[in-house]
Amino acid sequence: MSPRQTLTILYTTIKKDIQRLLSSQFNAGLLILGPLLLIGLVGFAFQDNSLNDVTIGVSGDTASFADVEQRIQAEGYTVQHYDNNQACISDNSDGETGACLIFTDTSPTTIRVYVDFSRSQFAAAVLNEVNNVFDRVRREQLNDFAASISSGATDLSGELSTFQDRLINVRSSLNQTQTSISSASGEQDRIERLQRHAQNMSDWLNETQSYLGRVDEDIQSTKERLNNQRGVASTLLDQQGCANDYPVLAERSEAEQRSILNEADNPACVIIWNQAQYFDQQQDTLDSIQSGLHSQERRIISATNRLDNLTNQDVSASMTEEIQSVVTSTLEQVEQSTADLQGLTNTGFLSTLQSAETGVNPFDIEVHRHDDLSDVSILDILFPGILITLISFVGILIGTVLVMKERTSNARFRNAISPAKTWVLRLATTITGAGLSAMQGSIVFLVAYALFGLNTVFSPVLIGFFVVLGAVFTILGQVIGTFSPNEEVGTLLSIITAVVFLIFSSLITPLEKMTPWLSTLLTYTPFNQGMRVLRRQLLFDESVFSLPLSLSVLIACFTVCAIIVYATDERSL
Amino acid sequence: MGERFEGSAAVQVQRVRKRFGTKTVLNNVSFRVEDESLHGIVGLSGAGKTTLLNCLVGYYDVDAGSIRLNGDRLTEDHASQIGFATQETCFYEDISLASNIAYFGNLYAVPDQQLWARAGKLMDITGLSGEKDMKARNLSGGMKRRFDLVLSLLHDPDVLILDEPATGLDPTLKQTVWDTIQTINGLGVTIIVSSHLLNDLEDLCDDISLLHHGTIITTASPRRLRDLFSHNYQLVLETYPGNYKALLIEIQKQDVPVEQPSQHKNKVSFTINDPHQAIHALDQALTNVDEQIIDVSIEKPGLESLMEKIG
Repeated sequence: MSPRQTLTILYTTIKKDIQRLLSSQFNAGLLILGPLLLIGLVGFAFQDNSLNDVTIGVSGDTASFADVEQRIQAEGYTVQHYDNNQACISDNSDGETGACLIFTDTSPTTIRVYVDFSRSQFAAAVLNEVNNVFDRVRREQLNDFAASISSGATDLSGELSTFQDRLINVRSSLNQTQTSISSASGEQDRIERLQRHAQNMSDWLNETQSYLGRVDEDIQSTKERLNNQRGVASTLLDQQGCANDYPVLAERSEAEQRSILNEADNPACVIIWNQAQYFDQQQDTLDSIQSGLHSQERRIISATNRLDNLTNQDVSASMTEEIQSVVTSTLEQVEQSTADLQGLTNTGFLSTLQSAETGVNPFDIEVHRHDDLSDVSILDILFPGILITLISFVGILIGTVLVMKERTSNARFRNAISPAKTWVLRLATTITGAGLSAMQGSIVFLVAYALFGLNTVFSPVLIGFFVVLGAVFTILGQVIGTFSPNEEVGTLLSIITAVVFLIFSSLITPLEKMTPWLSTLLTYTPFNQGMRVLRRQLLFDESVFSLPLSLSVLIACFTVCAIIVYATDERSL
Repeated sequence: MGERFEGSAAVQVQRVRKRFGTKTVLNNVSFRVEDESLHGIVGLSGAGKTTLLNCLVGYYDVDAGSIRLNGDRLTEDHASQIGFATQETCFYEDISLASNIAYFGNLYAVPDQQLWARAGKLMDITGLSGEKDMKARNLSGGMKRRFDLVLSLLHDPDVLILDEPATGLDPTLKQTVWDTIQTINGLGVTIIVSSHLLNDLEDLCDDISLLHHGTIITTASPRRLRDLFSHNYQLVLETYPGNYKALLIEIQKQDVPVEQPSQHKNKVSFTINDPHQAIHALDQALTNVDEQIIDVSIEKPGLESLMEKIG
């Protein structure tokens, strides 16, 4: 038989098989509308990514966790309060609530989360949502803290700036006083002028003293905030079991500290210790500024007293110069202090305080999707599983049904005695099943893409892979059909096989949860390998050829089944 | 149709043996089928007819002996020279006649133009013209058998092998099928047909092989078979007013043995040894009982009776 004749027979047999499959309106409807119905239901069901109608149980010291509770409600979940923890846990295990949160009053405070792992997919979804809530609350608290520090720093900076301006005015007045005194016509005139200006100076210095008091309060407030954070850091160091290292490290040189910290077993200690160090440095800086300001305050009080005396006494020229010197010195000190604070603000004072928050929450764990998955929906995530399920069910069923229909058909005999080679007829069945499976996969794909915003790209390579998958499952169906005693048994076996594939995939329960050797074995089912490739292609936009092992497994599976199907002599069955 | 189907074939079966496990179904089977003849295989149920025909079409390999087609040992390459129809129709009932024709025609690599020309003629012969687009399952029983013949002849085989083609049909449909087979044979196609409808085969076939317990007892023409296996004759009589009981007593009184008498409707039949003696005694008896003869015949018994005797 020539290749052309072989191709003709292949074509005509495929055409005949399709005609037979579509011979009734019901069959035709099922083949075409079935996948549309499936994707319609799934696409509609998973349009919204959030969990709906989930109640979260809370118990314990709920007053301390008002932020968390408010956030849970803001996310659209219902909060149910429990008087005792056990009732909360019990209702969760009964399925009344999606999760049970128990707030404890330990120090530091802890939230215990209970979810029902017997419904692992749901539990994972709830955990994910609860974690998101915690994350948002933590971020809000961080923002509040950062805003508070920022506000303090801004206030402090503003006060100092005003203070600086006033001192500049004082210096200007002093300069005018000096000029006025110098231009006096006589001693009496000079003293009168000095007294007149001294009165103004005294008023200025009183006011300046008041400013200094406010600046001092701001600095004190900032110091208290820092001190508070350092206290939290110390608690965390204690929690992490590295509190004893802190004073020891503090006594070491910087190089030694770095060396010890680099070798530390617990990186959390390093983070917290660095923050504690930083708090100390900030504290030292503020102490220095505060000390300087206190010194200036004393000198201004002294100068004010002197000036007050001047208004009532004779003033000598040397005293005038002394007063002028005090004012000038004060001016310089305040300018220095202002510059220090301004420098702190400009060089990351605020950001440093924000990073201090990292020390307070050293394990601010963020669960991120892969970059490729940042925009995917639940439908996108489910889609590889839906596709492989559809193609496997259709392929196995069509493979089995076509073989059984052929075996139970009277025409089988006419086929058997015809010049057509048996392998050609069986290959035609494989091609028919593969083609129809791929067609169904493509229909589902296109509908999901067009109507439900599937976030991927359709490509000819993908269709080719659908055909490969369809061929693997169809040939498996042919094996089942070849050895089944009758059509009923064949159909039942094919459905059971497809369901077993589904159950032993990660779609229902993670493979990793199974017995290790079984888990390893089941990883290599065509279902799981096919899904692996589809996930890679659809979710991560990588070529189907990027997983050569999976493709090899699929090809090996097809080859083994093909040998069984093509080598089996039907007459011997 | 006016056209003579090409291909003159002779089938020669020599010492064929076929076993299934420990059971020997065919043993030392030999016979020859002449070109363009209509050859019958007759046997009781379980005699091995279907197995023999399956060997002839190459579905089963023989364990011993040989089957030759036009002098060549039968191989897979001869598949296109053989047409086959079984007692169950061999086509897809869930698609149309046209689809079946297209499929099986292509399976035998018949070029399209030739295929549809032949199919048209065969559909005319079998009276199925106009049913081309009908789904095969909607055909009547007789039409299905005739369509099966159409499919068997699409590729212009040299030999057409038919396994009990009229089984299960009512008398009218059976006759239609037999008529069609004779028409096809008249076109020059060698036909081998098996049946246990023995009375029909004896009128249809040129030669008949008697298959009994997997062995061919003999191969001969129907008349020769009757001669070989029976020395008696069957006398069939119709008289008026039809007092057959008195008539038979009167015949026996003249020392003519009357065996296995039976009456069907207005006729009576019985077995006799000597036709001359029986006619003489009948003539005397008719006068004695005052019966008037309407119809009388004396013939060899049918193969049905013969097979019953063999069985």
